[in-house]
Amino acid sequence: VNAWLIIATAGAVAFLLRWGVVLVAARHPLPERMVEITHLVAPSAAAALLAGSLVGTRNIPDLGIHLVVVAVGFYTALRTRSVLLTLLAGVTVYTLLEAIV
Amino acid sequence: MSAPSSPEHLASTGATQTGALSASRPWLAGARQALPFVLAFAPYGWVIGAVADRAAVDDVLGWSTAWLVYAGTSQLVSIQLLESGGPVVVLVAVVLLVNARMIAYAASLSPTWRTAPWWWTAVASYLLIDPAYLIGTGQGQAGPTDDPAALHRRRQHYLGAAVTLWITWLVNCALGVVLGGRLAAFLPSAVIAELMLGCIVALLISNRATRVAAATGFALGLPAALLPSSVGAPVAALLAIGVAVRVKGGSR
Repeated sequence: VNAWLIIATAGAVAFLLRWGVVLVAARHPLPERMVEITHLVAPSAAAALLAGSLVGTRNIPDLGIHLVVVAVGFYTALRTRSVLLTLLAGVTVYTLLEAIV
Repeated sequence: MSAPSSPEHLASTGATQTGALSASRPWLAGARQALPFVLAFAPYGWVIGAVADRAAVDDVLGWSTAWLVYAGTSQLVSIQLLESGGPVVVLVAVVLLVNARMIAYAASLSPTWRTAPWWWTAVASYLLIDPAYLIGTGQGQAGPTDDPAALHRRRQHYLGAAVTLWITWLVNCALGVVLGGRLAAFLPSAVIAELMLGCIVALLISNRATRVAAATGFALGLPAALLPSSVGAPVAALLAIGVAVRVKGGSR
């Protein structure tokens, strides 16, 4: 099967599902309980993706560095609510740890 | 869980002031709010472009995943599966699984979008990714959903941010393809991608239920990463949502 067709199909199906949900929800508003549950999807999915990414780190010293950097970034984001400060703090700590280790 | 319009929720999405600021030029305010994410995600786009360049896949097709699939992780997975010659059904299913959270994002944003024309909802749904959702829920919940003028402003704000993210993502992926690994080699791309995920998690935490969802998602995501074909994260996320719902129900 043509590779373009495969990628286009994957993208189109993902898009149509999203759009379909929006169209249906416009006619039949979701129950409050359902809306509340949708707010839980983002933090759980992002955290699971993050864990998967960390597990993919090749060796133990690297994993340690990545864990520390992510922890620093997470804490910075919690405290400051700033994406740029999070990036700055994380990359600075990473650079320092790389230089030391 | 806090009410979507509560100050707690707004603060959690990092968009406390923008809703008010966007009254005169909501498009511009949305675009401005997207800029930190543009900067932060640029290296990730370069890496994906570089992967597409190195893979045994046509460069133009590799770059085109940026607008055909438009989701970093799904792009990486689809390029890898295309290269390995995996079955079509598996590729489509994995892209859907990795992107499953976007369906919930769409449901979550639908109250703000319900009065928009169909073509607008199509564009907005296509442009829906993590940072766009974060910005959309931050300012999108800032007032009543029965005021058409306010809803219109919020939609403009969302689209300003989402279009900015889309255009810059395409440019960054193109840069990655053209310059290969040279751009990505200068930066700790893997760490930056993880930092941004951690940042998104932190900005989404607003109460006990979201804390439990994030913590459980992370804890379950570690062993789940060993599952084949990138299904680990969606499985862990589903279980974590179940746990958070139970905790939330128990605390009522």
